[in-house]
Amino acid sequence: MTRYVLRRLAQMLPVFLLASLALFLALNLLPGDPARRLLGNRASPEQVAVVRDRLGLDEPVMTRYASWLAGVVRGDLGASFGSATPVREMVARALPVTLLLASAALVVALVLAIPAALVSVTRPGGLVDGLLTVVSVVSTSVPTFVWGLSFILVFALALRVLPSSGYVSPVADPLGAARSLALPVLAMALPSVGVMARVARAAMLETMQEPAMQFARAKGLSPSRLLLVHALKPASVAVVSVAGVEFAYLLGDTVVVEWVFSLPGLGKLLIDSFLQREYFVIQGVAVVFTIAVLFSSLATDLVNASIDPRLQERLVGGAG
Amino acid sequence: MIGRIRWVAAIAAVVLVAGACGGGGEGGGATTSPTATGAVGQRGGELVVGLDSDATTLDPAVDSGYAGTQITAQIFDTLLTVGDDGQIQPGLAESWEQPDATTLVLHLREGVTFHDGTPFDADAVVYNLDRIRDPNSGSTWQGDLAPIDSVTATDPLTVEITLQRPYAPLLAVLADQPGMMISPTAHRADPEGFGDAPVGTGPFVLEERIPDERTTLVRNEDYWQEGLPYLDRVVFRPIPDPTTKITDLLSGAVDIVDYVPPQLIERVRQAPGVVYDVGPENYAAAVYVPMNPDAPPLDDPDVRRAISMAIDRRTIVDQVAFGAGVPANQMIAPSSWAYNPDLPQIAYDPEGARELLGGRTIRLEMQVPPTYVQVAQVIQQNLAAAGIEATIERMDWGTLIDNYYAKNYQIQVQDILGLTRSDPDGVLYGFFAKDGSLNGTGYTTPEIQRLLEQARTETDQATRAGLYHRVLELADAEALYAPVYHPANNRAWTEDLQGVEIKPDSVMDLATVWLQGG
Repeated sequence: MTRYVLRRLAQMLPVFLLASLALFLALNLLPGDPARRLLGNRASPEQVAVVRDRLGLDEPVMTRYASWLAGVVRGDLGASFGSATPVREMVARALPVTLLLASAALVVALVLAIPAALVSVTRPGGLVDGLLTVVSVVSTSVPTFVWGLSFILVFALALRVLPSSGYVSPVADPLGAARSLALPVLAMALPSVGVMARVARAAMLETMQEPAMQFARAKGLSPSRLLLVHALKPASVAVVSVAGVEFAYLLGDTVVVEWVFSLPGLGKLLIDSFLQREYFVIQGVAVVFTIAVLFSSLATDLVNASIDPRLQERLVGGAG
Repeated sequence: MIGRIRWVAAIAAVVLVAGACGGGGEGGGATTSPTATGAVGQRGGELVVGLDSDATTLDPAVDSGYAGTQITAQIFDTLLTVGDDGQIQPGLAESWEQPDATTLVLHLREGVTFHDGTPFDADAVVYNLDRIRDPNSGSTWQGDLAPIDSVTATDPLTVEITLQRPYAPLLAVLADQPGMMISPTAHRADPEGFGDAPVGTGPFVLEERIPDERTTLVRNEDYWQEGLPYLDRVVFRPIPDPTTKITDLLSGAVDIVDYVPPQLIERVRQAPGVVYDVGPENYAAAVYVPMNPDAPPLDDPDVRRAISMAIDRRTIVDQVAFGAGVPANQMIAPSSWAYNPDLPQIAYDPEGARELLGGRTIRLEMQVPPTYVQVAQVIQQNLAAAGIEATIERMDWGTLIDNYYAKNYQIQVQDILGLTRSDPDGVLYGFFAKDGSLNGTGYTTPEIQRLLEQARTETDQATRAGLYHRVLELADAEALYAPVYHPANNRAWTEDLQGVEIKPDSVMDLATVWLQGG
């Protein structure tokens, strides 16, 4: 198993290199000069030239990429052009916010999706099943930012029960944090609920058809025990797989949600940095996002292997 | 609209006079509130301010951007201040004199201390000004203080500044960021960290700063203006998305926003419990169309004049700026004392423009930044009505400005909003002198150049105003820029907040506002 994990980690390296190089090149094709953003619209070309020189922006792209990469190896992600704050520090400050948001959204989505699937599986094609299908289609097809803006309209503007934006640290004030994160987390969770409920429902229905289940039923096990103990566990492999994919999507959603709700996470840092053409910050955030997605897919496989020993054999077997 | 702005300006003037009486230069412990009604404000409460962005630094020696100025203005006092009419007023210096054209003597206020207990005295002023003047300081304001030859403390409360040459804008410079006084003790202890741990003499003291999240200030209990400030705490929150910022105001999450973007003005106006107001335009604020006299057919002054005549300024102000501004006829705003009131408004006259072109068909490319696409679309239709075919070329601000200085354009749409300096030299020398920092083509006439240079050396404001009026008249004939409108400063706040004024430099004064019932 350890060898498998190591091999997966080694496979991440080329993905990471490719992604970072592609982004580095793309950023350089982007119109807009970081030195100009720094100095404001009124700076003369001479002033801009001085700052470009100081920031090393006139070096060839590949030279700059190489020196950035050399920094990354040493754990140095560069510094902000504007404030000279190390990118590592900025990312370290923003990462907990984003991870908290995405994980909370995933948990909320699972908590809503699993019971929904269980209820609809007890009587497939019944009224509850039909209703849940409609609800899950709606929750999935309405994008996160529409949920977010609608929630702001209802809960912040009309009812005034929850704040429309802002972040409160859960360490300093747990209740305040829960209030400030309630709307963004729900907005992110809803589109995932439908997807996960449908996957869980399909997986459980399929499991129910297996010979082992028919045998168990013949033995006289109660339908609820059958469902909760025997069907849910094998079906959860499918749920975990889709949750892993959803987590990656949720990380992406944080970009929009953090902007709409002014939360100081990686997503907002990314947009702020794009506006300022802070190449190193953008690059740093992207690196962290890439690593987070790669790790979430690894974690998905490992969790699944621990649920279903058959998968574990396949993984380790594949690793030689 | 004009009536409304005058009305606001009149109130502001009354407030200013009341403030001058109440504040008193004698240091006699005045307790009167500096409000128009004379009512004393209510102590206490926390104010949450929504800003478009976060300050890049809180060190006033470096340009911290618009948001940064809103915060530093609460932490630091300036040596001098500017009234809404552009007249220089006392600040940390309670009086000053200019014995000759190259000497300025400042008499400092007694008994003022920095937040860290360091006394504010002549040595502190010398430290501050020398810090900016030091070529290695990297200060944005070095150019502003370049004409200074020496700064000396002649006694603990007197500073003498000698100049290499007469330099009229100096007083206005000392009323802006270069005149913000920082604690020498705090700066010596940690020069690099000062931007995150600023120490001044101002009404509020920094409590906590979390970049991109919040900056919290608390009341300076020993503020030299007795009785001020009213608020216990001020929290600045950067909210870059304008819709979120306004939603936060309407939902009560923030109490005041620095600026309402045009497309959201109607929503704010109709919201219950929220006050929306338009203040005077910034001294130098203008949206304008620069025309490159080196690029045919714009080398013909008639073509440039025709373009200016063809623009329907009223419609742009009403429809695109949603009323937050006034049509412009010159490159400086009515709030400046250099504004030439005798220049006629530029009438919207497509027929006159057509005549001026004498039947020629003109084709132009108009370079436009994202901010002014709608303005450009109206101008495009206006020009078409006068027989000028303009294509809109959209580009980001950086490219636009680079093209401007590389003279790689025919016409553009641009703005100037960031100059808070009250002295007109910055903007007028900038636009019209051969080596002006805002003059992309370097085009000028010998007479304009001479008048601008003379205005720099005169110390009498009335004389200088006369010179600038003449410059604006000559510039009008050259028509190198078509001024479109002066955007007005607007602001919105919860009705619980009292004493809010909107000043031409658009910097908030939070020492004199208070929360009612809180």
